[in-house]
Amino acid sequence: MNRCFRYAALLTLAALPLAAQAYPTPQQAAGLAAPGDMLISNATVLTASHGRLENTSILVRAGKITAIGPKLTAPAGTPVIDGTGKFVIPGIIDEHSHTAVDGGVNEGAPSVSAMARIKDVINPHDINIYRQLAGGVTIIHIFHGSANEIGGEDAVVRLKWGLPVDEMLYPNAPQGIKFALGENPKQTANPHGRYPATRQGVDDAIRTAFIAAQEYKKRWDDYHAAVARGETVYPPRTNLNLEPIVGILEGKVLVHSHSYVSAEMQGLIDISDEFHFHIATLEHCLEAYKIVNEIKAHNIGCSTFADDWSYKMEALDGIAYNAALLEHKGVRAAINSDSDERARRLYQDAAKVIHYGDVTEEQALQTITLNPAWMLGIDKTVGSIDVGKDADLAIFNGDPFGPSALVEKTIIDGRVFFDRAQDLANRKPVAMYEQLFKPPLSLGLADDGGGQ
Amino acid sequence: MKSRLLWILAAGAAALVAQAPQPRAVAIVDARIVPVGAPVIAQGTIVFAHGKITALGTHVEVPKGAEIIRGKGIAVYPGMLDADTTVGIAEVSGHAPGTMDVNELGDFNPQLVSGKSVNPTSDILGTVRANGVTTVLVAMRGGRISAQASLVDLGLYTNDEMNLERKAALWINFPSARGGRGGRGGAAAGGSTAQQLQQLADYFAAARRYAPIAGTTQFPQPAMAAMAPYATGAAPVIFSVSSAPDIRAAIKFGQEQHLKFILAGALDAWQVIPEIKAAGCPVLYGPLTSMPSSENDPYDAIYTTPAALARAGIPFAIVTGSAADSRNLPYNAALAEAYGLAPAAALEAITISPAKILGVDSQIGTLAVGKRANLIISSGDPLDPRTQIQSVYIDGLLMPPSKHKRLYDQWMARPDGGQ
Amino acid sequence: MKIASALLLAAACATAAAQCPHNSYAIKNATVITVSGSRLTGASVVMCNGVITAVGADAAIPADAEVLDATGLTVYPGFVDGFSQYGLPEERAAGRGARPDGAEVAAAQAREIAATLDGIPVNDPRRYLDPQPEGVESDRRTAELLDPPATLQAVRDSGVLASLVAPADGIFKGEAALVNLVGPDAPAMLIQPRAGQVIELRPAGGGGDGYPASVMGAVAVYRQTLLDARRLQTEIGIYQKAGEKGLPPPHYDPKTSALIPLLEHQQAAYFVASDWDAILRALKLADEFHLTTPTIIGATEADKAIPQLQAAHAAVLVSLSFAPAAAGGGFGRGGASPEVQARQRQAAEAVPAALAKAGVTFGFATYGMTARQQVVEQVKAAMRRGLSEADAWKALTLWPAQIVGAGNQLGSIETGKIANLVVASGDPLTGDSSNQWIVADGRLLPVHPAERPARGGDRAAGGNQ
Repeated sequence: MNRCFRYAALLTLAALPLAAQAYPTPQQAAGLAAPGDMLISNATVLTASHGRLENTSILVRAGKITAIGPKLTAPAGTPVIDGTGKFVIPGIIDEHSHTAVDGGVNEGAPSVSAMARIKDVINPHDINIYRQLAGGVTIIHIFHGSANEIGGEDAVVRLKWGLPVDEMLYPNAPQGIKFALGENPKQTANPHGRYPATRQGVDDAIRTAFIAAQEYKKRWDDYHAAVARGETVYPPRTNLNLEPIVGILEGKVLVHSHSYVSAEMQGLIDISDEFHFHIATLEHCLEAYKIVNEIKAHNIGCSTFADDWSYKMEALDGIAYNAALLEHKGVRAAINSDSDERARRLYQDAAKVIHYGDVTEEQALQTITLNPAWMLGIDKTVGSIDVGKDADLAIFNGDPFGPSALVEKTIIDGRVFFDRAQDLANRKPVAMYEQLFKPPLSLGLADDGGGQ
Repeated sequence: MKSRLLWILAAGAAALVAQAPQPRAVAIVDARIVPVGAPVIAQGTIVFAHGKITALGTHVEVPKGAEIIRGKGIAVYPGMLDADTTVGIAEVSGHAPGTMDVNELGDFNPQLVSGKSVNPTSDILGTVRANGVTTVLVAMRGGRISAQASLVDLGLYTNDEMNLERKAALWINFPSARGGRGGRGGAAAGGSTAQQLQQLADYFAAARRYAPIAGTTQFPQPAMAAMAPYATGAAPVIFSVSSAPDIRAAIKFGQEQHLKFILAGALDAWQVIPEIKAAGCPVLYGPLTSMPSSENDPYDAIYTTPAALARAGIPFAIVTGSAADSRNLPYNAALAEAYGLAPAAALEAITISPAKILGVDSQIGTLAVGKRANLIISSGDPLDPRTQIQSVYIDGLLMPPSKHKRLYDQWMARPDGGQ
Repeated sequence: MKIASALLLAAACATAAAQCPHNSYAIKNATVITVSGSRLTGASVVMCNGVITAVGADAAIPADAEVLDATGLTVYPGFVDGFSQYGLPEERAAGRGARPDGAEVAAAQAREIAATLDGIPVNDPRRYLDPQPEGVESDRRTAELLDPPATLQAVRDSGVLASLVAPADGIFKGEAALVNLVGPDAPAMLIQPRAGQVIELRPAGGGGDGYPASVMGAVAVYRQTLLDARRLQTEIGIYQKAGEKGLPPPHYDPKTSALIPLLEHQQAAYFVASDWDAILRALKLADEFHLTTPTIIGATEADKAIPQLQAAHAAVLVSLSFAPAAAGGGFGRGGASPEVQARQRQAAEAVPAALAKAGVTFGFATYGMTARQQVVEQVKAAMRRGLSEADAWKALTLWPAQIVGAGNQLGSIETGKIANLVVASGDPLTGDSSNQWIVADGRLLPVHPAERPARGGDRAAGGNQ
């Protein structure tokens, strides 16, 4: 790309009066907000639920997969994508992300920051959303950071680039919350003596939060009972920090715990037994392979890295075979990114699970599709290519786990939100970021060419 | 002059002595052999003894007493070379400074030799090796002139035996116009960029003044003595740079100082291809797993650059710049392959190309008679993430499994829990 | 007949004019930019006791008025600044509260966790479950904090004569005041002492050791504080219904009490929000508690939120800093590259024109401007990006006055309004112009002390015009 051309064009365009951004965005104007129809024909389909299907077509109506099979036909006017020579997989789900968060990913001051909500601070124009679409990711699970043993509530978001936040939130996704064990919570703010400073203290702080939540719940139950009896009483104070923990006790909020070493994970499992709640996932859980039996007995999902390790002491026994071992032993594993950079190439990371530990192609694919969907409680509607599920798909130029894999199109709800050919055709020498709000992403709409 | 001669002799001696001796000849038979830089042998045999490849071809005589390895569908590739790492000198980067020997104090430390403190039994080293990376360039990263970088075979037993070339190149974190840190370096000296450049130039000039008197002076200065071959253009300097303006500035500096120089990192090289081509300097490009530096850059700017370098005929290698992530060298190359680099070129970028750039291509980088027996036995293309690496040989010795494999085997063996 | 009515008129005018007991001024024969109507030439503005009594070419000038011959000069209404910290002492004006030092924080946290059980210290992590937030200053009243320093002179001389003022720090910054920037003392400068609550969903201390340290924490503090205010409302209702007996009295925490008028729509709500997401977040969270339609202050990227601003009928006080959104912390919104920042600046200058075109009510504020930026220069930049001259005048004067609820009092040169005026050598927005006189607080104040008014009376010595 010629830098001189870039600067000359920049100077020229700078002289023109800048029009304010045109709203609604071109994506909204192009109707990408509404679920779409399409037919993908004659591709190799990796379903993640029932194996690899050759020369297979996928029919999408109103954002849902309505048929899968050889030689399907679609109503006239349905956009058709020729899948000959291509591979189609379910849209990749990054189960551990901090992308698109405004104003800080940690509310690190108090020990327990359950009152914080990622949904309040999602930034839908983060360029990393687009870059991840270009890597086949369709859904990300945005977490609070790991500075607190109990952190804030999370968000499940579809990467509908160009649309507002409300349209990106996954409809009816169960609410989850972030826990953190180990070095991160015990070191945060510890120059100033915030309790706890040890793993035992982290365990105690979590237990104490549940005890407090039980007390809080009882206060409210007593209040409702008193009102029902016709008594005149003040309501208790709503404590936004305890409400989510009551939610955990009532089974309405999923627990996702950042964790590393086996003893601390067993400690949390014991707490979950004591207070009768379910742990949905252990995150990172680099030593999960050491307590597989216990994890399996509690039906906990493990969301981990492909091969990142040794970046701190608690990561010293992390092994690249973790996910494979878990899969071999019957625990559902997901491969996540915890990184804007890694999130772009989760398909390569999933292939590493074949490399280290020799899982099958479908098991590897499930680590980035169906397993994270299950962990998020949305596997009934997304995560595999099955009739009735969301048309969230990624089309690759070849085998996604091979050395030459790249994503050509990424589809959410039956609409193309990333198209490599369009991206290449629309590249202007300047203002790539702004012009990403302009390109006609969906199948043949003209560039509006608005002034910059 | 005298010190230069001694240096040459020492280097020669090191080349002869490195690595423990291979006990018995080994022959891998009926394998697909990909020598790199020569035609693929669909079904052939490779023999190595005394740490060197002794025969290679379709019909090769297997020496008596050789250990014979054959297997269905096995392939033999040269071991890979990661020409920008901290393998062996960095173990736990977070909150465990005792395990890190990467950044020294002070800005000008050419007398430091990075490879001297490589831990032969580093667990990270073992995982990198297990994925087929057999040689690495290890470079410290502190200050401005960090240290001399060392070529290290990821072999066995002792630091001495593993060092292929202790003084392979001089690592410099080039002053960055965006403030402070050049490329992947540590903290830089204060002052404006122009001041920092001037300081660097002054240092090189002082080294050139010192060089002629090095042997005779009554006040020997190890740092100045170490600078001699680099300052006079006899040995290569590596500039760690990232942005386009910095790359241009580094090229200009290297030319003004008449240095033999290589660019490392160079992530925005795609913006200055003609300048790099005109300068004729090689590029150690990577890691491919980096983000484009601006929101305005194409999303695949980094992925497509190796192909752009190849099209321009610029000599380049793909590197990781890491310790633990050096194991992913082949998958960095795979990303380049996906975005336009020819598969053969992608393999060369992590084998023979870095060997040539660092001047050790007579010893490693391809499978050829007379070269070191640094090779991997795999189920297929090592750039394919699904490929299984079965064995890794360095100087003809079979390498032990990594810590990861040991823990995997150990914990797979734990009895499953009851229902 | 004509002569008779003219005489009657003259007599009436003279009579009327002669009735001004003190501070009688007239500016004569000037070009008058009324803002509310058309531009007048050769016109006069007559004032009595700080209120405009007549405007026009035929305005009668009382005999005892101090007259400024403004031939060749231009008179325009003093700018109404949508939001600033003018008049507050230095430490209140600070953009961020002072960072507590480590030892203080450690001591505070030790207190938080320590309880005592009969004098025996007990480590009770439960006490961390209700962290005390910084930045809830909802009961702070700007009117009580004003302490106008001498440096206001430079502000006035630049043409800004009135401003909505509140401290810059805090999530709930307190009750704003509408302030005249000229006056003998603080109480005399108040136009409206209770002008609305100012809120900003940003950590008070700029991150670090205090709670909250993140934007989502600030949102949680906002939500929790308003829930507490709502609960107090509920308790008051229950107590009153119970006849104020049989229950302990409600706990009138000053900070939550101060927010009940906000919940009951008796207090205006201002949200400081600059970038797109912050503006949308402010609108959403104001709506969550059904507050009166908020006014957005800052609003550098307001053009991107036009549909939502229109739907909420929200007004906007645009900061003339046109500064690109600051890089927030966290993974998502990292620092923008210099190229993108430059384009953001240009885009920000185009925002006023976009708002005008979309029919979104807006005015200008100096909040966020650096010392080097000049009000008029920044407005000219907006005009170069499409803001019409007429709209520019309104956005400096009448519209912000209306937005802050002073539409009857300020923002134009009309009979009955407060006489906040600037007399300048020309039209500041279309050419070179320097301010010569300020009219405020019922007085005529020279911008350059050497100049004195021409008068038909016996004021002080000193050179004539």
